Amino acid sequence: MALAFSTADPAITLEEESTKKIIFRVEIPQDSRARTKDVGVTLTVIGKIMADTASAGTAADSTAKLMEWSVVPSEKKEAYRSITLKVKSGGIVTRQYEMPNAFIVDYSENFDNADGIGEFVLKLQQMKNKLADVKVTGGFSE
Amino acid sequence: MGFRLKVTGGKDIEMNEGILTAVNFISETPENANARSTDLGVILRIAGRINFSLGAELEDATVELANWALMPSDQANCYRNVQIQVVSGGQIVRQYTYPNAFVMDYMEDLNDEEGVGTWTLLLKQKKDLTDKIELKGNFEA
Repeated sequence: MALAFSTADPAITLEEESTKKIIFRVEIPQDSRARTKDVGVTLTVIGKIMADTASAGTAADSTAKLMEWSVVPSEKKEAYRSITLKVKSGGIVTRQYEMPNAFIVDYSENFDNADGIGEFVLKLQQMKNKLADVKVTGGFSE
Repeated sequence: MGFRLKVTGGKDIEMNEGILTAVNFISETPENANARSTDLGVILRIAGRINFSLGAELEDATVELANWALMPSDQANCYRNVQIQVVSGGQIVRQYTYPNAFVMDYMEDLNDEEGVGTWTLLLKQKKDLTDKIELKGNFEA
């Protein structure tokens, strides 16, 4: 299973080697008596931070662009981006998540002297009240 | 012990023991109540795998779970009829039927180690219709 993450406007395309785990979640307040309008859609992406070895002809590392996105102030248009995450398995896109107005809720980078590589945790949320634009599809060829 | 799920009232969803891994039935009232509360909520937590249909012999019904979770509250089919059967030794040990269930929480979890994904769905019966749920147990399959 490979996880391909990309954003548009401005574009970030993470290498498939960089992502290792994702969690897609849709939730409403759990004390609600019926279905509410207060729906949150979040996507958490966990991955690796490696050295960029593009000059040696192997995979680059684009995670630094996530870091830059995480400090964009909310007044700017670039704070919201259209994101696509594809889950590929056996030559087929088994899941595709699209969030057209995603913003970063949390972003962290963690390093220690034992692992050799770093880890990032990116938590994205679709702008609330724009729920209808989130698309989850799957089962088509690349 | 196997689980079978049937959801109707939108695009039909059917899942069996190959997909479902856990079921929890939860009936709860406020913890700070002085006496038996009328504020009774019935919840169903269902967990399973995302097997991903590659050759499409079996349609992957979990996409429809994600679409149900994203359904806005003003649409009629955000409430659906859900039936869970717990099957063991030729017997239906439990059968829970929630005629007006809505999604409170839905989570998909995928990683590059396991090959398949997992999901967790948390449902509640619409509270004013709590008495419409049907709970049965121990009958022949």
